[in-house]
Amino acid sequence: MKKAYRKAPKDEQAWKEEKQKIPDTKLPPALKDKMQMLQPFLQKGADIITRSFYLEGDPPISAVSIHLNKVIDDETLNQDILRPLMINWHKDSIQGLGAQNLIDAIYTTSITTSQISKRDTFASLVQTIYDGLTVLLFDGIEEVLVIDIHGGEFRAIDAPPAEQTMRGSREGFIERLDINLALVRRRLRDPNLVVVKTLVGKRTRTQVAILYIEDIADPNIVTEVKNRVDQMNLDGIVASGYIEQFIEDSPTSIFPQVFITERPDKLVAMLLEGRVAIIADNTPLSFAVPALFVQFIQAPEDYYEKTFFSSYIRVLRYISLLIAISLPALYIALLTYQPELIPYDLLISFARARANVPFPVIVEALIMEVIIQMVIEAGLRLPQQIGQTVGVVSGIILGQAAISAKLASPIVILIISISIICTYALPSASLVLTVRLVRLPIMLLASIFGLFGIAFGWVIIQAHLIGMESMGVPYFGPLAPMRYADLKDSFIRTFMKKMNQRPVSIPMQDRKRQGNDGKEPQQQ
Amino acid sequence: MKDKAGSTITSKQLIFIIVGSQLGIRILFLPREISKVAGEDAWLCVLIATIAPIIAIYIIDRLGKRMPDMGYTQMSQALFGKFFGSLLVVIFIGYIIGFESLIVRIFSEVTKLYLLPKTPLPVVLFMYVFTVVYVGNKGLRVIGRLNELLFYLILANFLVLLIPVGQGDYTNLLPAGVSGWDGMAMGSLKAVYYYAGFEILLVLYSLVNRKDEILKAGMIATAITTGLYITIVVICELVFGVTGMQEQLFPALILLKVVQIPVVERLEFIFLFFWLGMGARSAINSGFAAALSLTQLLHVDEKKYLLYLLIFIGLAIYIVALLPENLIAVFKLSTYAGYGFYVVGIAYPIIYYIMALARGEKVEQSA
Repeated sequence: MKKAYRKAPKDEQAWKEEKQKIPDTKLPPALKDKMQMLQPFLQKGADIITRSFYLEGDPPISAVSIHLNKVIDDETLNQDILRPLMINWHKDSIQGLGAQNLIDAIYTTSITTSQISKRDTFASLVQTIYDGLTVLLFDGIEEVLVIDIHGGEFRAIDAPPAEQTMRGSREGFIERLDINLALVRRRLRDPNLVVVKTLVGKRTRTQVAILYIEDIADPNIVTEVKNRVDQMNLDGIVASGYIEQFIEDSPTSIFPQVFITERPDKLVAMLLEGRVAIIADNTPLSFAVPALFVQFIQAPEDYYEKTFFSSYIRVLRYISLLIAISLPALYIALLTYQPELIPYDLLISFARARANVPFPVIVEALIMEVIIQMVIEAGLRLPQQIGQTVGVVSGIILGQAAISAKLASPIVILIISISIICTYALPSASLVLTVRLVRLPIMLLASIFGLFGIAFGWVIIQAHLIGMESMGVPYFGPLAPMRYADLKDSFIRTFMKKMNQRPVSIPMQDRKRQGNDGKEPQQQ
Repeated sequence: MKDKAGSTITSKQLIFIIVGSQLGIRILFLPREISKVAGEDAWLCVLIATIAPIIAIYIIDRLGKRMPDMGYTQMSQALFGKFFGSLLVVIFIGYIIGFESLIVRIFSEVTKLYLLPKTPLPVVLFMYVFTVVYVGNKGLRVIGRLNELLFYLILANFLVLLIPVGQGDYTNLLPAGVSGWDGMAMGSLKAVYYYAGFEILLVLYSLVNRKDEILKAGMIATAITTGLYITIVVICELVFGVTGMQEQLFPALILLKVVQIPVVERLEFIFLFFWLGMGARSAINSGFAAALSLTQLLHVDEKKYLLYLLIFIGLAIYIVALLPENLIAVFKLSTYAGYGFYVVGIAYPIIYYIMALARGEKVEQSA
C-alpha cells in the first residue's frame, strides 16, 4: 500500500506541472490579443497594475504598462518611462519605420532608464511580470519591452546586529540582493570579481548570486558550488538557510559547514582567500564556502587590531571553546569518580555546598543546564523590554531560589554559567548552537565513564571533525591534515606583513597575497 | 589501488601512522620489561633493536618497488599462489587480531585501574572497540589525518614525562655494559618486539601516493619511535634505578607520582586523560589494515562491506581481549604476541622478498 501511495504523487506532480505550464507561444502583434492572453493572470492578481496610454502619431499607437504594485519605483516609472512616452514623444523620428525598428526607436530615444530588454514569448512575458519588472506592450508590435526599475520600500543599511565590531565597517547586509552586491563591489573593485545570478525555487524564484574572484578561486570548487545550487529542486526558499542545508557536504553533522556572515567586509576577506560566496535575495546574510573549522573561532577584529591583542583573544576563544564543551562534564566526572583530583580545600567547600542537595551530580547539572537553555530560548524572541525582565528573573531570582530550595548547589550554577558565558564568547552564531548541543552528550558520558568518558567523547568529536569535508576541502585543516604554513593564522595571528601568502588549506590558483619582494601590489 | 574514500595518504601521514601503531600503551611498561633482562643497558638495547625495523622496512620497500600497485592480498596470492597466499594473509589478520586485542586489553585494564575501578571490563573494552570501528569506517585518509593530529597532542603530553628528570640520579645509568653480551642480545631481541606496528606498511604500501618517499618516511618514523623510547627508558632508569623499576607494573606512569606540582594534585591522571584518547590508535590503524586485507581476500566491494568487516574484526578483538583472566596472564601472552611479531614483522618481508626474487619476472609481467 505504501508503494502505491508513493507512486501516485509522481503522476500527480507531472499532471500538475502540465496544467500549470504557461504556453511558450510567440506573442501576437495586436495589443487587444495580448491583453486577452494576459487576462487570466491579471484577474488573479489584484496588485497587478495596468496603465493604458497611447503614443501620439499617425495613427496613434496604443500601449499598456504592467507592473506589480510597490515592487517597482513609482517615481522612476512616472518620470522616466511614462512621461517621455506620453509627452516628450519624438513622433517625427518614427514615421515610416517598421515594427522592428519602431521598438528600437522607442527605447533608444524615449526611455531614459538603463536596464531594459526585449521579450517575444508569452511565457517569458508572464514570468517577467511576476519577477517584479515593468512591461510595456505596444499595439502592432510583437515584442514587448521589459524594464527593471526595482524599488519600493526596503530596510535601510544598518549595523550588523549579530556581528558588531569596535573597528571596521558598520555596514551590514540587508534584504535586497542588488544592494548587497553593491556593498561587496564597493569594497572589491577588482574586474576579476565574477557575479553569477541564478534563480532557485520553482515558485519563489529567488535570485541567488554566486560570487568569486576568477583568478584566485579554484575552478573545481566554483563549478561544484554552481552545480549544487543548480541541483536544488524545490518549490521555494524563503531564507538563505535553505540553501545552506542543501549544499553542505554532510547534513547529518551538527557542525556548521558553511560560513555565514552579515558583514560585507568579512565576505570580501573570504573572497580574497579564494572562497566562493553565495548571497540570496531577501536574507541579510551571505555564505562563504569552503568553510574550515578554525574559521568559526576567528572574528573580523582579529585582523583589524594589532597582532598581540588578536592572538591573545584568539587563544582565549579556543580555551572558551574547550571550557564551554567540557567544564560541566569535568565537574561531573571529578565529583563522581575522581574527587581526589580536586585540591583538598576546594573539595571540602564543594562537599559543603552539595550537602543539602538530594540529587546525584549529573541530575543537578542537567536540571540547571536545561533551565538555562530554556531561559535563553525564552529571551530570544521576546521584545527587548520583556527580554530584560526574563534575564533578571532568571539570573537573580531563579538562581537564588534554586539554591534555597536545595535543587542545586551554588557550585553547579557557577559551573553552568561559566560554560554558557564561554559559549557566547565564540564569534560564530552557528558554532554557538553546535556547542550548546555537544555539551549534553559529553555530560552524559562523563556521568557514566568519568574522565575516560570525556576523553572518549573528544576522540569521537575529533575523528568526526577530521572526517568532514566542505566542498571537498578537509574541514579540520590546517590542523589535520597539518599545514604548517597556515598555522600562523589559526591559533594566533602573525604580523600582517608576514601573512604574505594565501592559506593553503583552501585550494586557490594564486598563492601570493602581498608584494613583499619590493614591488607594490598594483594600484588602481 | 584506492581506499574507501577513493584516496591515498601522503608519506608524511605514513610517518605518523607507523609511529602511531608503535607508540601506545607499551611505553608504560617498556622500561621494566627490557631492564629486567638487560639491566642498566636497557637504553642501549632499544637502540640496537632499531636494526630490525630498519632492515624490515628496507626490505618491504624493495618488495613494494617491484609491485607498487598491488594490494597486500594480491601480492601474496601472486607470489605464493592462491592457496598459500590466502593462508599467509589469514595468518596476518589473525596476528593483528591477537596483538591488538592484547593492547586494547591492557589499555582497558589501566583505565579500570586508575579511572573506573568499578566499571565492568567488557564495557570499557567496548568503548575502545567502538572507536576502532567508528574511525576505521571513515577510511584511510581520515586515519592518516587523525594519526597526524594525535601525534602532536601525544608529543605535548610526552613532555610531561620529562618533568621528573631533575629528581633522577645519573649514577643509576652506570655501569655501562654490565649485562654482558648475553644480556645485551636478549634485551635487544626483547626490544625488537616493541617496534611492532611497522608491519602495517605491507598493507599500506600501495596506498601511499609517493612511493619514492616511503623508505625515508619509514626511517623517520623509526627514528622518532626510537628517540621517544630511549628517552622514557633513560628517565625511568634515572629516577628509579633498575631494581626499583622491577617493583612497578607501569613505571612510566609511576614517574608522575614522584613529582609534586601545586594545584594539580595527581599528575598521572592528567597524563592518562590525554593518553587514553590515543589508546585506540594502534588498534584503529591495524584494525583498518586487517579489514582492508579481508575485503581484498573475499573479493567484495570495499565501499559496501568495509564497515561489516571492521565490525567483524572489532568483534574478534573484543572476544579475544576478554579471554585472559587478568593482567598477569596478559603479560604472559604478550610474549607469544612477540613471537607472532617476529614471524609477521621480520620473517614475512624476508620470505616475500626471496619469493619475489625467485619468481620476480613472471609476477611483474602479470601485474
